Amino acid sequence: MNISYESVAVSSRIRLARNFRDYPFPDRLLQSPHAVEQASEIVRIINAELNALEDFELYGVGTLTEERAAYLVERNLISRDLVRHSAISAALISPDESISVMINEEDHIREQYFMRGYDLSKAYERITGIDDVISESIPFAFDRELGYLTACPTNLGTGMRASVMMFLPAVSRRGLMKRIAPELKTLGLTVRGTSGEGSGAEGDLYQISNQVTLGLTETEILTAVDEAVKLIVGFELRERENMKKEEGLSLRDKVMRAYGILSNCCLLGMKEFMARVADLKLGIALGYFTSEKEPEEMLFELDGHITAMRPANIDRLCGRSLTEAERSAYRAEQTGKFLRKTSIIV
Amino acid sequence: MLCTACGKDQAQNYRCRTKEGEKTLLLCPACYRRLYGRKDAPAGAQECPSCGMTIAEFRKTGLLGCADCYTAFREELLPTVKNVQGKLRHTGKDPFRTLDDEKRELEAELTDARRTGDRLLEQRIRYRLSVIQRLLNGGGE
Repeated sequence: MNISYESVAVSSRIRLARNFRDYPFPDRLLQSPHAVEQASEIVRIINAELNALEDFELYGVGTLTEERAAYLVERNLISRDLVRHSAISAALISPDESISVMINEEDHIREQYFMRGYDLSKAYERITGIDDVISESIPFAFDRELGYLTACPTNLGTGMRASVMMFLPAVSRRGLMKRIAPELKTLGLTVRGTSGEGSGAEGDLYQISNQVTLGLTETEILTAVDEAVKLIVGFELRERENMKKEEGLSLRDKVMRAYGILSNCCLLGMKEFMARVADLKLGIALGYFTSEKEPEEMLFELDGHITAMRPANIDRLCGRSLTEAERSAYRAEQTGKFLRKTSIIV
Repeated sequence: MLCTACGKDQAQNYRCRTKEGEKTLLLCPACYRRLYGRKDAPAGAQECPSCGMTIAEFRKTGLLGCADCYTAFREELLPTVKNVQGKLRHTGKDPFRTLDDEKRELEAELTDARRTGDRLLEQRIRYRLSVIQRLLNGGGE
């Protein structure tokens, strides 16, 4: 794996959806007068299995403060749907935050493995190992014809979603995403901007994942996503070179302005922060900067800094709930410090 | 326990409301559907015997109530599943099938791909085999 590759395929994630055979699915469970007792039993069983394996931390979502829940959502360790089910939901998170098992989200169990960089087969290997451990004592809802049964038929079969986060500034800014999306659809895959609907994607980040979960084996799904990722990486790298040639000094100027603003500004809102960091990351990937660190490491550290500068993460770092203006000031100050510490040389 | 109606297939517990109150029926899904499923029920009002979900509720929320809903509403659900997934037959991980079984099947597919000279298919199968082998090795780096 080289720097060019990992400057595009930023992180990998695999999620498996599973349900207990004998309990109503979570949305239905919520309507039961015995919801809390049944949910506690589900949490107890999974907690016992996983903690025999590793020291997972158990979070009862109902006992979390709003701020703490938002912090975990920003770190992609739990979802908004899990928070919506706070009366019955919980999460088990591994010490290094690579494994998160959400309990009573849309399905009873959502096991996910997250890793920086690109290695879907490793991600699958880790999460299927967790799945095997959980399945030893839990009769999963499984049907010979339809596979693992899920609350929503869009997850039936393997219950697996393999996704890769991709940094696509060149493809995106040159208006080429519309060429990729239909191609992916024919392969049973989908692409979406990380900020969800609407125009473009926050920080030029896009998530590529399989849409179809039934009728393909897990390894067939991994193969399809892998082929698509390779094609998109090639496409993005070519477009970056074209961009560099065609836009020359104006592109360099944009990157350097981003660097200047991020290093020296006094107030930095989230939207501007994401846009400027995307420019800076593009500049690093294009070789406009040098540092004692490898470019790959600089990009990884910047991604970590992005997460740390999200609102709930800032509040947690500061130990209290800040106003938007206070967060902007804090984000500007910390980003300046961060860039001085990374000793990037223009 | 076998179905109390046909005596052939495995029975499930179905809750049923009668004039005398609620009682449990020991029937296979086919007999349950035949005897109770659609009888006098208006379209969309059929209930899942386990969780009480109706197909009308599913159409509204897109979510099923429990694993038994897939048995209770199978006929109604299959076109939706086909529409969403394109296929109706699970071929992936199976709690009753081992990795060795999967490896053997893939090796047979690889032999076929070699014989027909399909290089792309061969490459794909090799990738899948590498994932299976990694799992069989117990997750070594």
